[in-house]
Amino acid sequence: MRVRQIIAAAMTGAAAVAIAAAPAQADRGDSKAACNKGEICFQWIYDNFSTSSYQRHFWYNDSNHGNDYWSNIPDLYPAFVIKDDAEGLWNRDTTCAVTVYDLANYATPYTTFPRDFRAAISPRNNSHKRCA
Amino acid sequence: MSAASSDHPFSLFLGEEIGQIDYAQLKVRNKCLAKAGYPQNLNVMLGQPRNPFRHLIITARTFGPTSVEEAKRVGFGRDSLSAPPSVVSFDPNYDRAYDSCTDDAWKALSDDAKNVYYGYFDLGNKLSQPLSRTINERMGVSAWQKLLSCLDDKGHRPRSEQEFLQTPNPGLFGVPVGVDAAEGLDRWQPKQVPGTVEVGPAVPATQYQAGPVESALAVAWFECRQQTGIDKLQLQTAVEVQRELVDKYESSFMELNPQVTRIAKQAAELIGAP
Repeated sequence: MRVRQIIAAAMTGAAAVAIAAAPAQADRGDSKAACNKGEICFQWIYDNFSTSSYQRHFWYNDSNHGNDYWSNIPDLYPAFVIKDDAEGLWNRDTTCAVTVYDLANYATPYTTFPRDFRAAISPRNNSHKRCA
Repeated sequence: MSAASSDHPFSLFLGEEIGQIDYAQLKVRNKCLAKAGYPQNLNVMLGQPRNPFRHLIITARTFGPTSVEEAKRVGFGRDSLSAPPSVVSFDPNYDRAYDSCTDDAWKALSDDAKNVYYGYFDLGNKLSQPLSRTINERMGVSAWQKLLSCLDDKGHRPRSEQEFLQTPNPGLFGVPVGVDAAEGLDRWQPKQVPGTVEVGPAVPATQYQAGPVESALAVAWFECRQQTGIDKLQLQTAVEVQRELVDKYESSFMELNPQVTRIAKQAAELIGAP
């Protein structure tokens, strides 16, 4: 955790000049800093989503977290992918539970989050699916 | 706890009942939202309950294809169920109605329904999280080396043997496996007009069709599992691990199962389900 916080602090300074590596069309939910209703939100350092840094939001499924960056707001924090690196999840999907998989392509279901629920998770996330 | 001594110890987990509770809460909430002027969720919800923990029903299929025919058709993939569209809000009035209707729907089920529901998800996750890793570790490196050797004889090599021995994942063979046919929905972008609620595209049910390379690997994988006896060993090990987990969380099952059964019955009565 200490290492993550140091890296996070360093990245904040670098963010202004960072260039996003993720595809422009990638699902980032509403691309706003806050985790809003309807979104599936992952957080790098879990703090009950009390801060908006180092999050990644989705509207839909994603079969490979290995090409999704901690860049919910476009062009911010593109250094690390979220694969096996999320410590928090908030499911604000208005209809579905969300299943997080240990492997890409929806293989090996690991944890299933009901609607309207947030909590810490073990960083074993390679893909996720709604109403699986 | 008779299920714990059976060959399906996780049958003690009431996934269908938790699906029933989920569905009833959703239906009551969505009717409330519709009354408040927001029919979107009610219009798109699934037509029947769905067990959110179907992955806790452990069978031979859990560990890969179970016949040559199945291996040829779906490889390591799976057919997908349909899913409702995403309903997303840019309207603070919807957000307030959503929160109010959510609370009211839980109370309509029973005073303890919400806590029992979330508590049961927690129990389900305590079962699913260690399951695969524990089975793989318990089977031991020698078992996975046998599988690796057999696959190698058939011309299939992973990009990292070390990684394969830790997690015997067919994805390590460089074959594009299990890609969901519903991919592409992540390109959807709502207009995000303030004061509106938008409905995304629905996710259709899809039949997975493996490509020829994936099919060839899956057939070899199936044959090697049979030849090395790993198929039977993995199922036996899975039963042992399930029993251990059921024993570990016996007090949670004892506390929660009667409550889930009761609330599921109330849920069915509330929405008129069979």
